[in-house]
Amino acid sequence: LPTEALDRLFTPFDRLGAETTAIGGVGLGLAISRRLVEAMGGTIAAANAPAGGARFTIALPAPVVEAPQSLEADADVVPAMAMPRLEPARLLVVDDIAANRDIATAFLEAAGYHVEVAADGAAALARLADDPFDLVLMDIRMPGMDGLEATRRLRAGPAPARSLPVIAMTANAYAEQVATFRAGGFDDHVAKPFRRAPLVAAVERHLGRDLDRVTRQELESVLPPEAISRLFDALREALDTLPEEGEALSDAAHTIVSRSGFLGLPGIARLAAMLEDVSRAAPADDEAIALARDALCRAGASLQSPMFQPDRVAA
Amino acid sequence: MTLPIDPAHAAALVADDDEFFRMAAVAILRSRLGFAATIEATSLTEALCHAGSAAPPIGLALVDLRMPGVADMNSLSVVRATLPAARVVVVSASRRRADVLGALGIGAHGYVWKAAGAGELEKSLRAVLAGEVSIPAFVAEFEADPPPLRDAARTASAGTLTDRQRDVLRHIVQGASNK
Repeated sequence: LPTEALDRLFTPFDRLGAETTAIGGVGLGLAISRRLVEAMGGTIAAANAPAGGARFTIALPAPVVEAPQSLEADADVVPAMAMPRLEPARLLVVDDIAANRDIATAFLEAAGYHVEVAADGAAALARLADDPFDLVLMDIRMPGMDGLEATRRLRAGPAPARSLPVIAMTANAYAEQVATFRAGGFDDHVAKPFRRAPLVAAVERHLGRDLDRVTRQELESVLPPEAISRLFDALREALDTLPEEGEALSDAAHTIVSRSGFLGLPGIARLAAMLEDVSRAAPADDEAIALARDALCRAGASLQSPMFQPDRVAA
Repeated sequence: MTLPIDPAHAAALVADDDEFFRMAAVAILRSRLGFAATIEATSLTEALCHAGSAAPPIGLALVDLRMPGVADMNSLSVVRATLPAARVVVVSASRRRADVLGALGIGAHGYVWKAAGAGELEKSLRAVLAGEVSIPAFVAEFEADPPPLRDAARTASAGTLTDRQRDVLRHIVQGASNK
């Protein structure tokens, strides 16, 4: 291979200048290899070998560690592989009282989520270490390890579980206590006894802000980073300039559906689809339109967060 | 018997008024599915102008259910009639079962939800090119549409929100503003 083609080996679907011949060029494998290696802080390179063929070199920084090291410590070094995210989202409900677990499970399963349960903090941490989850609902007062301690340990523990959204479930709904939960690593709070809508809304709020990394990576494999940045800016622009009503509102919602969908923002896409639906209906239900529009604006405001910036995902 | 379409000897038409949807779709059609050519249109009229004259001929047409020139699903049947040899896929932001079935009703080969993302779009198009009909799995979800028994009521209230949806939206608005 000519030297200039060697650099392009790691570009997805590059034809290596073979557009006019039957040679196929490269696929995704080397591009994925490079992304994995770079995610681990290393480099990958290709060179023509003197005796023919090619030599691929991978350099990885390997910290010197004391043996024996626990598996959990290793999990910090190796980046989490993005597993294909299958619907529905997986939730872990942690509560020592069986009736509370049952009620929360019933509400959340009815809303389409996959729900698993644990009866105390230690059991929850064990489940979170074994299996991937999308969100945790955590009781505060439990015998054994309580919710505060379990959340503290989760936040201090290995990736990717340490960055999961954790919602506190408690009857202590005083403002200063809620502030304590936030300081303790919780993302949100729902009051007990549960009511269906606030519980589902709290979950939706955090999952809606979540980014579907698989979808984003699929887009990254077909579009260059500049194009993804433009798409992201166009989505934000559409959200910032959402018309008040009428066909202009429906049309804006329509474009937001596909833009947010491609960018891996399923929560925003769902709200925009709902808004398009209600805003095109006749006779118009003004209250429903205003509600759907407000909810979309709220969700759109979270796009200011750095976690949604295109380059942060690629990194 | 439906023969597979060979993208290497066919053009793909993307008719959608959102330039960003066209950009993503064209990238998938060219780099992932290997189409020899892609044609972009921003309205139904423009799409039909390209229909007969494309070289190589159009093997696959992606048409948006919401773009200038489209009144309803029936407007899209003209695409199917104008391009009898092509596979036609309806792209839409709607998750209503009635819209998916409506697309099949005008003889479309597929229906793609616009928010499904690049991977899903590619998967559906591959199936359609192979001769299959591809519709989204949500068509079988219980809550895709209100139950048929309430059809009469639904016509009056189509496009409004259920009480459950209202509740959840209210809490999204309130919850976020409490922060």
